[in-house]
Amino acid sequence: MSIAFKDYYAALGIARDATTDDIKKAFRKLARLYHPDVAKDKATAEAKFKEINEANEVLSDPEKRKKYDLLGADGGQSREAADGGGSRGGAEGGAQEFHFGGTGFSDFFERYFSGGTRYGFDEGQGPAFAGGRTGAAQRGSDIEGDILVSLDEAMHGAERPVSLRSVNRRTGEMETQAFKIRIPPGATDGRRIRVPERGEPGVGGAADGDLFLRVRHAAHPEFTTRGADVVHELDIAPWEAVLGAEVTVPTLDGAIKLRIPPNSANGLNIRARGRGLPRGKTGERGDFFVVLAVQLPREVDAAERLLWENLRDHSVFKPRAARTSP
Amino acid sequence: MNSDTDSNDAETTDEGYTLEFIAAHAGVDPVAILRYQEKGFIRAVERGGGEQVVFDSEALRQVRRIEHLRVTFEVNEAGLGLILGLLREVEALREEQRRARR
Repeated sequence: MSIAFKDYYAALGIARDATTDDIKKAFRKLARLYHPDVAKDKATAEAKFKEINEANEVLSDPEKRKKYDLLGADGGQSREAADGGGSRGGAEGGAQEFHFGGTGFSDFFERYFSGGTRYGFDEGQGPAFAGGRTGAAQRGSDIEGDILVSLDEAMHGAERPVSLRSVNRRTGEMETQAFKIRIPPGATDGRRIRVPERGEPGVGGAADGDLFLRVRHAAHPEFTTRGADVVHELDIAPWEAVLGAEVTVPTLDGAIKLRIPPNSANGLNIRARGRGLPRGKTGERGDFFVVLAVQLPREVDAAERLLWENLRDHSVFKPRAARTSP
Repeated sequence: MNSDTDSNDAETTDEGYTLEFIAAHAGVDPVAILRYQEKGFIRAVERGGGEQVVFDSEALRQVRRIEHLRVTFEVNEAGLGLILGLLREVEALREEQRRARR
């Protein structure tokens, strides 16, 4: 199977020696442009968004990035050489016995970077079933993989078509299963969704293994998640932090008005209760956190400069005073 | 692309699983499940209305993993505790690292 090499650096428009910070900035900039929620041309934007998400997923992870750089060292040729056995997240049955589709990741990503693993028993090592089952009956191995889930899907739940191509280890033939999986509302990052009996076939009448898909939230330009909580980093001006302000911030279900209290510290978390992701079927929801990020002007014009000078000359604020006095 | 006849049914069930369900689907005795729970190898998510212990798919996956370690590698209970603890810690650290990058 030949798989097109993906140039993740080009996807993010960054140099190969870009710093972690460069990557983050480049991703955010592009994500704001192409996020399906905001882009005008939805179809193109979605493909592009997936691509930058994937590039970010790999390049922002030092380990994956290292591996990617090794893969790309020969300019994207002869991939096979770099694909040492067992490279797929510790796959025990050798690399590339199965292949996912519809997970939101490209074939290239699936092959080299997904968390896909076959987890189970090798031939002839079946578990001694406590239920007294004997003979060659052996439950099929479980298969594990990642599935990219948008925050919108995590919020409302979704149905997704997924395909799984794998070698039937008994017949040695490639088989494809296509099916739909349901992503439950409130699917948090890292949670595993069990798809019953979509793993490897059982032997001797034993049950098939299960498929476990680990939810990976697609990076979003405005929000990150912590469990069921949703976090939004809000850039504010220094005077908004000092004087307080009323601002409008986006949430996953509509904008809300928020009051920044006077004398707010940089990095302060302001909580809006119950505006996060759903918590299971309880009807409860996680919280929404706005994290203040005080921004400083890059350049000031003459009039503004006077104002800052005025502030300097009259302010009693001594940022370093605390360090010298006990 | 081949597909099974029932392929249009979204088939993820993420309801809570009973002790018996976990035992049957992992091919182990219910007593073993209780023992794993007691040892802290797996965790129940909630107690349903009555005294029913309920597990999630993570617990089912964990029991399968335990069986794999036990059968394939002949790991004893002390070894299981060590390995599962390490796996859990690695996973938690990875998640933390991942969050920090986002």
